[in-house]
Amino acid sequence: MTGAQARGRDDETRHFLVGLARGLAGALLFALPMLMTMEMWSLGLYVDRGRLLLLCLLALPLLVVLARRIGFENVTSWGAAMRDALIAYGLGILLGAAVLLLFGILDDQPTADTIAAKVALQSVPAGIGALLGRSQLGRHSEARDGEDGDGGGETGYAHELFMMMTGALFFSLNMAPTEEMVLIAYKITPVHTLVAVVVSVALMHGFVYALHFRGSHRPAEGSTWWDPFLRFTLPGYAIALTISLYALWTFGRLDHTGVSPAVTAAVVLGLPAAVGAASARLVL
Amino acid sequence: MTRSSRGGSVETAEAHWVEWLAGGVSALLVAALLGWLARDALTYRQEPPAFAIEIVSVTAEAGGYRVAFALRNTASAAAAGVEVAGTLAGGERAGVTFDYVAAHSGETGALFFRGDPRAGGLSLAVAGYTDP
Repeated sequence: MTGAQARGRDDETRHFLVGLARGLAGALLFALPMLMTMEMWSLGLYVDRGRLLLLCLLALPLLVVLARRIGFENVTSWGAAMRDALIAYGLGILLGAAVLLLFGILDDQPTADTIAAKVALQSVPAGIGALLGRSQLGRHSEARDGEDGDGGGETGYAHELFMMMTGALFFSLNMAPTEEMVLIAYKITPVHTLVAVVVSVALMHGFVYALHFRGSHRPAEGSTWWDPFLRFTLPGYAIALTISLYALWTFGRLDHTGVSPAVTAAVVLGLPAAVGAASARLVL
Repeated sequence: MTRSSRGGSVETAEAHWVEWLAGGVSALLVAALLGWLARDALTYRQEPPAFAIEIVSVTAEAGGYRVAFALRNTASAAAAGVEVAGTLAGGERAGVTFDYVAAHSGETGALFFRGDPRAGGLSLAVAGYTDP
């Protein structure tokens, strides 16, 4: 082996390790609020195991597509995306277990079943965080800026919707376990709920089109305001509501409730989910 | 389609029909949601929670009896800290508190007694609640 080859191998290893560290940093950044939420710990005791399994299974394709879309270091094939997604998921599980252990939340558990459930609950947002950490946190230190800047690229409609779903899911997972979501839903009247729907949709549209954040979108020349509103904002809000219903259902917040309280809770959680969906379009 | 570049993204004018379909379906869904909420808002009355308790089953267990019941809130206001108290003819009492009972929703629970509730004299009632 020549010296140059050995150096190349070293560089690659270093690169991979830096990637792992970034993944851990991202998982920590995104999952800490949930790791330190009491409801997430107690959910480990009583969350429906079938729903938890479904969440953990659905996280896999989500992470794979996410890795493919925003992947770190030129993820060019589905195989590489799969590898990155599994690494991110693994980092999420490890980090979740390590932090819960650090806070003394795992070692008081009598059964392996609840330990596994507590870690599994944390692994999904931590895995998303690990993936975002590897790609987003690393973006500006790499010599990729030129590549990012001039060419640009066409972002497909499905891509936009997928990003909105990811943002909505991330925010929903953060907030759905807390008691505040149902408490707010119980406190407000239907008029408040109605206003919350209008505010959510307006926020979504404003975030992406009006505030001119970096990464914000401009409608095509000559098109009217309702064109992107109908094509992007309303589908985005529908996705945000669906995701918030899914998150509430997963955490058992909709059990035993009638239709109206369930709709109200979905709208309440739909507000942060809508903001998450809109900001994902800007950031990712 | 959306074109991304450094200064932000510009959406291209010619949209695929799927985009309009998704937009149309979502608009219908959001309209249905608004309609549902408007109906709720129109029928909403400022009324206190109202409860109905139904005994589901009484089963004998080691050392006592389990009385399973269903609690329903029939009003359009939710209640918190709903305390259900049960008494037997002999004076034995048991109680349980529900964190929340949502509007037009139900919860289930159980009370334990040492005496046999089937002998008669069992009564279950909501002792109190707080507004959430």
